[in-house]
Amino acid sequence: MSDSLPFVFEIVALNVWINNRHILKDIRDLRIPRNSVFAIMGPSGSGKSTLLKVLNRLLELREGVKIEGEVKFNGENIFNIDPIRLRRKVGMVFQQPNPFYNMSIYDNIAYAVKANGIAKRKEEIDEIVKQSLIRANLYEEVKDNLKRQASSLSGGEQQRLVIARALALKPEVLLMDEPTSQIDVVGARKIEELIIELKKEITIILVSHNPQQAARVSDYVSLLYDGKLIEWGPSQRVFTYPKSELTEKYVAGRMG
Amino acid sequence: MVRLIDLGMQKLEVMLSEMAKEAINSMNMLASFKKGETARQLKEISRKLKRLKEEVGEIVLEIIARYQPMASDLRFVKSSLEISYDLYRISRYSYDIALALDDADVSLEECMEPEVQKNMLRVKEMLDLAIKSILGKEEGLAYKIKQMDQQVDKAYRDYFNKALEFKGGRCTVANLLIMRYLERLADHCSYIADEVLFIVKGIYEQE
Repeated sequence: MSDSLPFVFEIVALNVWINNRHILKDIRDLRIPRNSVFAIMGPSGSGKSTLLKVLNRLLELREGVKIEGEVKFNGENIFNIDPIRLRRKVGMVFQQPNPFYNMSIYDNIAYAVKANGIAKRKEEIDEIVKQSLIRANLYEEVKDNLKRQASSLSGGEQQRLVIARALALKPEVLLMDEPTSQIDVVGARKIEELIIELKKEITIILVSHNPQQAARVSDYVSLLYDGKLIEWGPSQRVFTYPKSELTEKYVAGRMG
Repeated sequence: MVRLIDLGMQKLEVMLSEMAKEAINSMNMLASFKKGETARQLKEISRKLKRLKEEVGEIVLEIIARYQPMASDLRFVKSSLEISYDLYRISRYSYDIALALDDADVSLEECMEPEVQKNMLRVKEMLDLAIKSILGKEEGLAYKIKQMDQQVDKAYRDYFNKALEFKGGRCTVANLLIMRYLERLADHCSYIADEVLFIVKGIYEQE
């Protein structure tokens, strides 16, 4: 795998079926630039989350899934990479914050660090926990009591804890599946600010059904519709002058 | 179903139409120039368009803040702001022409030379085309305006060089000022054409 390529992911060709239903249809030539925020937009059922789950091979855990094609991560076909190794490099944050509720803030991150063999010594783990919380813009809010249960945090804080946990594994890419849809406005704004901050170090692929959010945070954007890739390109161009009429209708809120 | 943003966009269209009508009116008033009176009327129109331009700016801000327009909506909203400024400037330069005639204490009938008259008609045509191109979002008209702008520029330069050879006099000064203001008027018609091309094609074309 080479991290010197300009694109972290390249979907050469991709088809996905779930229970014999064709979900992703001949997606081709989609390249995700390194250290950028790449948004995937589309209406419900367009295949956004499915595409995201293909990228770190989570989809294959489901029954009835058939995948054909080639998807490259740092130039190597992901289907030839050990899934555990791939998921260490490609973290995922889901719509619903999913911290380990019965664990403390500290343990949420420390557990992930230990389980993945990132560090063993306590001082080392302490430092990783602290740095991860700092990078997730959560440290200042929780530093006085890291032993608090994760369940006592607000929705937005829980989501940032999940991000901190993912960052502790030093991923190259963070996949985010509508990470603000279950969070209040203030929490959502903090996550958006965090996304912008994180792209200095990693690549973020963000699924969002909200064009305004995609316009605020993304450098590149794509539209999926009915499992097909309609268009992708720099956000400024796509949001100002989309090439496809479907994209025009979607981003301008004229669809449906 | 009408989108909420459409209400704001319709308001913008109505305001731009009103401004366009007044801009055309201001140029037409020059044809029937009356000492003192025309400048006074044009000053009023220019003030009105300045107020309308500010209102357009407020509506544009409100639309952006409330609805975060995208794609063709975004292009139209952005261009409305520019076009409203151009229409205001057109009325202002019409007023400046009337003021120049008043200051030189001359009338169009006694002074206007054929090339000045020809240029004035050309700029009036450009303004008509500019308004049509906004309403119809017609890129063909926009290109025509840009070509005509070059003719206006050339006519101004030619007259300027010719005026340098004259001994001067009220009419020469008035005509030179008129040619200069017409050149600026034509520029604003050309800027409107640029905005129409941006609305239609999504890019600002290089000269």
